[in-house]
Amino acid sequence: MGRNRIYFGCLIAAMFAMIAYASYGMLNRDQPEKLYPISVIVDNSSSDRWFAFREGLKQAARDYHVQLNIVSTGELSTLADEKALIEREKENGAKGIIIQMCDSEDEQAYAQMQEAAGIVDILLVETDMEPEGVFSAVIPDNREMGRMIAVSLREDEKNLEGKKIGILSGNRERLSQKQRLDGFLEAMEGSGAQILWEIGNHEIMQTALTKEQLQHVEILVALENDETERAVDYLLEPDTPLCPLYGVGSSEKNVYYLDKKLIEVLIVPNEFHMGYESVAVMAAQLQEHITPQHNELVSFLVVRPETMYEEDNQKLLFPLVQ
Amino acid sequence: MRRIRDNFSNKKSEYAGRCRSYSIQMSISISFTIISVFSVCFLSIMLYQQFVNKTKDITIERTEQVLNQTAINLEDYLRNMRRISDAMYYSVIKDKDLGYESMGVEMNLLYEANKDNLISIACYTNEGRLVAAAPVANEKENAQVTKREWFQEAVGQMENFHFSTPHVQNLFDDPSYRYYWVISLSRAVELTDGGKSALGVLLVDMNYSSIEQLLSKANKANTSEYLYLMDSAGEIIYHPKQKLIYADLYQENNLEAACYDDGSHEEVFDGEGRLITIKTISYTGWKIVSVTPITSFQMGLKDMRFFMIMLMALLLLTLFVINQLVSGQIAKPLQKLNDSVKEWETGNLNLDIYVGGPIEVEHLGRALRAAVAQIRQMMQDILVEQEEKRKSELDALQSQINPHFLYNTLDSIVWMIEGERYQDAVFMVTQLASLFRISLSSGKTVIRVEEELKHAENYMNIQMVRYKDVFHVSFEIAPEILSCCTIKLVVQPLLENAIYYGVEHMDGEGEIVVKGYRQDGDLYIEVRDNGLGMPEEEVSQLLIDNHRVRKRGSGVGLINVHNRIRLCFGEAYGLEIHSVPDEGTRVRIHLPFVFYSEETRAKLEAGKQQI
Repeated sequence: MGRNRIYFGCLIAAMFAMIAYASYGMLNRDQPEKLYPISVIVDNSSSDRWFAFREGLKQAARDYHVQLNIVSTGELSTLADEKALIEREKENGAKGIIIQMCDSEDEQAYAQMQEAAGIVDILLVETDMEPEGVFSAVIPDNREMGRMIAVSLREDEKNLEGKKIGILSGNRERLSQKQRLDGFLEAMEGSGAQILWEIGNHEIMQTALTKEQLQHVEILVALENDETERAVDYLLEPDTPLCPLYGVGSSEKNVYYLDKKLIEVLIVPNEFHMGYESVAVMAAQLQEHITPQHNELVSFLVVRPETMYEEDNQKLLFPLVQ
Repeated sequence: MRRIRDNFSNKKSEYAGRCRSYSIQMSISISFTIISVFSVCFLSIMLYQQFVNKTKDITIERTEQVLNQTAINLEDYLRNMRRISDAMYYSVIKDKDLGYESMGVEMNLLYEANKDNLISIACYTNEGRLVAAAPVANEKENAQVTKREWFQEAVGQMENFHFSTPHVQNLFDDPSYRYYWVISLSRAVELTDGGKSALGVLLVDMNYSSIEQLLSKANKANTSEYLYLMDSAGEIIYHPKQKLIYADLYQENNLEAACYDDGSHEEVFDGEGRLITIKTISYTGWKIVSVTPITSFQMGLKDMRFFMIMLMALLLLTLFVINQLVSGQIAKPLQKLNDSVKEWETGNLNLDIYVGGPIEVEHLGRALRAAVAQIRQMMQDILVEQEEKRKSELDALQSQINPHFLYNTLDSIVWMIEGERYQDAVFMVTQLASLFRISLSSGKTVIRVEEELKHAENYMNIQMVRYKDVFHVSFEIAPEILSCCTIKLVVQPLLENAIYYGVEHMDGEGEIVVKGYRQDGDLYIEVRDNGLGMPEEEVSQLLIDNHRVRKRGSGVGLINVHNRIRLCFGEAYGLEIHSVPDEGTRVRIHLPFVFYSEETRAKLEAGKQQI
């Protein structure tokens, strides 16, 4: 009799559990799907160089139920600016922040980022920071990009002996720029070319690049989108001697001047992929509540004017719908 | 086959064994529960499947409607583009002689009228020279249009319109850095230049964004279903995740889908079951493909799933309660009957067997009750029979004594009368009369110890007359035992044995002592002689072997006395014999110390040893 009562009790309990589960499911059916707020902080966010990146962010936000906030920024030049932005976004409810570090070489950068972020997840785009691997990062292989500029240059110029090269290296406080420069210089070793000058964007702001400087170089290398645009602008100025330009970039202007053959070779990182993957990784971290730090490399293209309309290249170079 | 049968048989016996360990209510309840769960689950799944199928049909119908509507819109758009091309060709190009007039104004007007859907209109000669273009723009250096696919197709198949796949327009220079994705509609045209006819190509570059907008409207719904557009070779023209596909972050089964005919097809792609519906756009050969993941049919049924679970739970709950009540109703009478049987098993023969419940159980109860009554009666009969048997046995034993004794006594009287010892004969007859009076005792079996000892004394008086001074006898009786119970004629056979086997030939030195006393709450009467005695082996046979050949005496053995005492008072009582050769024998009667009364006597004679 006792066993019968236990058996009957178990059945009744199981049925009530099922009813409770079904009731809970029916009552919670209208609850909106949870969205994860993620903020994106990149240098000069409205610039058209981020067009593909923004497309990638938006596509991933739709796919991964993310409430995306691309923070309107001007030129971010100091760590303090970025730290303030992170704190503001955190106060606004962001659970994750995707950031392009403006100063990733500073020894204090990691500690300051960590302090500003608190429990909010941080993910780096375009550039990693020292020490590498402390935050998840979705970046192109910057060293390889620099190397590929040198490879292209050496393919074009069979004899580089004594050739004078000027390098616009961009923000040298950024690890990515340092890696691109290192990659370029490593690949140029033994070519016989002479690096006439190598100048960062801060120095350019302080002392404008002089025509004299430009007149002496035979090859111009720009390691960042804005620097490539800047180099184009210099080359378009009257009386400036034309010289081959090898650059990195993805803006419409750079693509246009590649088409106009002012740029010999353009290294174009797949920024759509970078934007999409950064949100995907961040969403996974927020949804699964785990933070496996890992770096994800995105691809890049080496494009020349004669190859830019090839089917695969035009898919990456040109925004699909404007 | 045999193995399966054996296996089934094993399972069956295993199940039966398991059922035996449960109560009948539990077995019924478990069986009903299993049947209920299976039935309800089966019913729920069937019902749910019906809903899924219905939803699937509705979804397919809706998808086809959207697909058809999109196809109509797209065909309208493409028809419009062909009309522009026709208008340009038949109304402008055919009427113009390029040697004398330009077609720029009309081309611009046509462009302006349709510029929402167009990027450009251009006309080229067979050599690839630009004749006119709208809007007016600088043609790129080294445009090399003759090497373009749209140009070659137009020249290759002159009678047709040719639609390209989306590509970036690379014909005109736009200083605002803008590049446009276009779909080129090209056709061969006949140009007139200075009165001479020449081949040319008319190019209408449609704005890809118009097609994108048109198709993205169909993909507005926030579901996992989507539409995409591809050409007849499977090259994607529009896809809601086109950028992801270009970046290799998403895969589409377009190349395989290009081989499908129009209509619905089921496929498995990337581990996911999908329903593909295809509609071919007329003239272009483009295909609109609708993709519906099979899982999406069930996603909309989430509420229905919860409802079905609740319905199933409530139904099962009701069935469980009914099961419990029904099984209880069936099992309760059987349980009561079982309880009655259990009580019977404990030895209670006077219980009332339960009779009730369904007809079968009631019949069982009645049958059992009748059987119990019958068994009870049979046991009573056996008891009576046993008692009668015991009594008849006792009577038989006693009847063995009386003839012997009578024979011996009469033998003695005859012997006296022959020896003219009349006084002794009179004495003997008097003693005999007394002896018989006690022996008869009005048919009683149980008498006072006093009477038994009187009987023994009468007997010894008779024997003393016969044997004169051959032996001496004395009685040492504790007065407290005189009023106790004994069965009659137990001392006399002992005295007889003491004389015949002990002191008969001792010439005045023989001595027999009869001693009665109480010890450890029991009553003892012992007869001791100083006669020949016996070896131990013989003593041990005295109370066992009933068929020993007696040399002398009445023929009634000690075993007779021993059995009578045990029959009357129980196994704990009887005779104890102790004998040493040449020293004598002591036979002790062990009896319970029970005072004599009529009631006690009646009980003992009725065979009740516990008084």
